[in-house]
Amino acid sequence: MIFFKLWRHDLRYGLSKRLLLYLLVAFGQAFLFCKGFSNWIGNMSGLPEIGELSDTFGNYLIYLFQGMDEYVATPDKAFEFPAMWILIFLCGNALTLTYPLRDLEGVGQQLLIRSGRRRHWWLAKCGWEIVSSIVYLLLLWLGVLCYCAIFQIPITLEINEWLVSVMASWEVASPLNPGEVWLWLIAGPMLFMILLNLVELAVGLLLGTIWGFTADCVILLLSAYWMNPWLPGNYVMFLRSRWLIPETGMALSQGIWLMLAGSLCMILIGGIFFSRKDILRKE
Amino acid sequence: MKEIQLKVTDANKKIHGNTILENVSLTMTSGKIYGLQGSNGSGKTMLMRAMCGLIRLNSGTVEMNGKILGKDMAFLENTGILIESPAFLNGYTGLQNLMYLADIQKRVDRDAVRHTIERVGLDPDDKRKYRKYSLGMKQRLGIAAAIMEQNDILLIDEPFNALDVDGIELVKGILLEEKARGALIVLSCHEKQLLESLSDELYLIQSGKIMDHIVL
Repeated sequence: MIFFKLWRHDLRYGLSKRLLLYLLVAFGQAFLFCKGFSNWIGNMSGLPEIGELSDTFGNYLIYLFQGMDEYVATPDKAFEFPAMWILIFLCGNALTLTYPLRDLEGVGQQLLIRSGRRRHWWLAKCGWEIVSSIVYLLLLWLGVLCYCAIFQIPITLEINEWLVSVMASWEVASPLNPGEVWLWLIAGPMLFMILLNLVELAVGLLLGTIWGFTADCVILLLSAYWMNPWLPGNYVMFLRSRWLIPETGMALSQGIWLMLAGSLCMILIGGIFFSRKDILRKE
Repeated sequence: MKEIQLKVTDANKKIHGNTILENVSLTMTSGKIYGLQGSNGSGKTMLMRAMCGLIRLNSGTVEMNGKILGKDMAFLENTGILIESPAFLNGYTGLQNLMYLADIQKRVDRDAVRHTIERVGLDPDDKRKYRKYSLGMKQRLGIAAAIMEQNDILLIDEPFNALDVDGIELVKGILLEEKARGALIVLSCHEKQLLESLSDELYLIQSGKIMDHIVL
């Protein structure tokens, strides 16, 4: 099938040939943020009211995706910004930002004519975005895993709840069932990353790459500053989860449907826009 | 070779409020070279883009043997294109680039692709990646991509760009061979004499409008 040929090409030329870049970005972030967390643990462990803190691989992953508390603007509350959380997802966006449009303005036109259908190209690019999102996050986790291996942090499925409470500045309200937490850590960021990249693809092809990236920035910032079940980023912030906020916290089971539906909408709407798009060469 | 009739009827196109094509009508048949002559920005390239389906007309139709573009087919079928400058993958060799394109429809094998590369004066065993090609080499590879599948229709935009004298003669020969094969060729070139020497019919385009139609 032509779709598989185009997709295979995109995975080869648009992903595997750029794997080193993905690796550098993912590992660079992993080591930088994990080092920051390690330093913070070291400082907190020195406090008598905290005591010794033991960390695990799972704790580091939760740290990366902690996000921030629900933001309530008050005169005495300093401006807060979940920089690490936003950066992780924006880096994933940046890695996939230019390839689709570059392809469309170049050899992609030959591919379109030969494939006979615009949807083959469009679906191949959607498939590429999905795989790229997964690969990026897997490399990020691998980076955290390597960090833990190097610094002899226990690589276990167990999560230290006391460390989570100290990190969140309040007690864990529901027991952290490792199975559920790991599902959250794997499914949540992946689905969110896929949704963001599909938004970037659809908006980027319609309006231009910078607008695609801007659309993702808007989703991330709105999610950060507005705790709303319709903003998907909320489901990928541990500090807003039901484990810490039992009654009003975000449950991933709802978020999964929202993110899946959002991704499907982007594929459908983007496909409709693309079927009508004028394909020109960049001046 | 299938007999082709290609008709553009009252084609109109505006982009960002600018008129790109205005009431353009053409009728073309197999085994002829149709020249599109006009200055830069006259609409030759946009007309080719509209004819192959890369841009959508605001009104009017492009019809091939009764099939309407945008309704019965998304792109013009059995068509080889070279529109504006050639575009390939920088990290592949010339042969790899053409083999990748040929793999989509699987109408030609490796030997045929190699033969086409030789036909345009390039070496199929050249290990250099496309990014190392000169402009003339890139242009030749672009022509090779358009002709390698022995398509019924060829839309070739400014094929002589960046070519030396030998290259121009080579490409002229190729276009005449394709015409003799029965292909319907639409050719644009801003050099009047070169275009007149090849074309059977000439369309003069200015500001997106057909100003004159000359049978040579």
